[in-house]
Amino acid sequence: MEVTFDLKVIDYSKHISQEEILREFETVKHAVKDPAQFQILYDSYFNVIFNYIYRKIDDEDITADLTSQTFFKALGNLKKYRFKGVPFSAWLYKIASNEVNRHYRQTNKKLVFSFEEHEFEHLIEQNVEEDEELDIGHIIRQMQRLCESDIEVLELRFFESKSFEEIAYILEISEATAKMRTYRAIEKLRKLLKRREG
Amino acid sequence: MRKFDIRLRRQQFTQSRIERHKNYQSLMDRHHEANKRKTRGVMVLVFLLILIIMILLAFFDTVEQPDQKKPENEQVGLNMEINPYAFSEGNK
Repeated sequence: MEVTFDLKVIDYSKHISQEEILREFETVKHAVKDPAQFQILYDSYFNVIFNYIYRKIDDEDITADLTSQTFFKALGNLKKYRFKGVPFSAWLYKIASNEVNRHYRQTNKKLVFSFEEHEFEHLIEQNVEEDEELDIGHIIRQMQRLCESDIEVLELRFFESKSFEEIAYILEISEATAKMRTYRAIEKLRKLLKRREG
Repeated sequence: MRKFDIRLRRQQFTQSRIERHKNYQSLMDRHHEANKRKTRGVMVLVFLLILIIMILLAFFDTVEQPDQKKPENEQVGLNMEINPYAFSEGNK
């Protein structure tokens, strides 16, 4: 069975155009002067940030707190936001990621990656040929053997549908490193899945 | 390397379930409260700075005062230069 995770497989419907990114930046500039304008950004990104945090926490109430904290910090530090050509959401993802890390440092709990079944199904549908069978449980067991940073890039690439530019911005690495890290994570997963088959 | 668990969720989070946690007003209230606290903090800091500067000025002022009493000899020297008779002689 050949498992072919494509580096380019990404849900482009979640992407926004350059004009929209610029328009969004205008909203950010307005929000710096008038915090009430921040509501536009809050409404646009609350759900995605909530889902992103939930995926790493797997607890609804803590996720709600951390999401609220993420937006609170974003609003308080809006003056410090520097436009780097990526959507504003990337900055929110970065803050959310820091909040999640802080939460785990404080609580000393084991890190969780909680994925929705339909997201996995979507991923398998796109990457595995029709006559092949690959169960989710098997993929998860193999993913468990990857390192945290590998899961992180795979999550951003395949579950959040982020571009390499955005992944680089969120993880504070270069775009080339983001590509390399994703490629290596896919390769590792592919090898793990093959080894089990053999 | 941190250990982690990968879990699978059968059910998707519905929009309405997420919406329950959305509260922009509370975010704004928190933001305004934080701004007020920040302003108060800055004011306290400025007040403390002014107070420290004033204390330092007062301290240096008291340290410098004994030095002003020192030139007693110089005063004598000055007195010696002035000849009170010179005026009276000149007038005569």
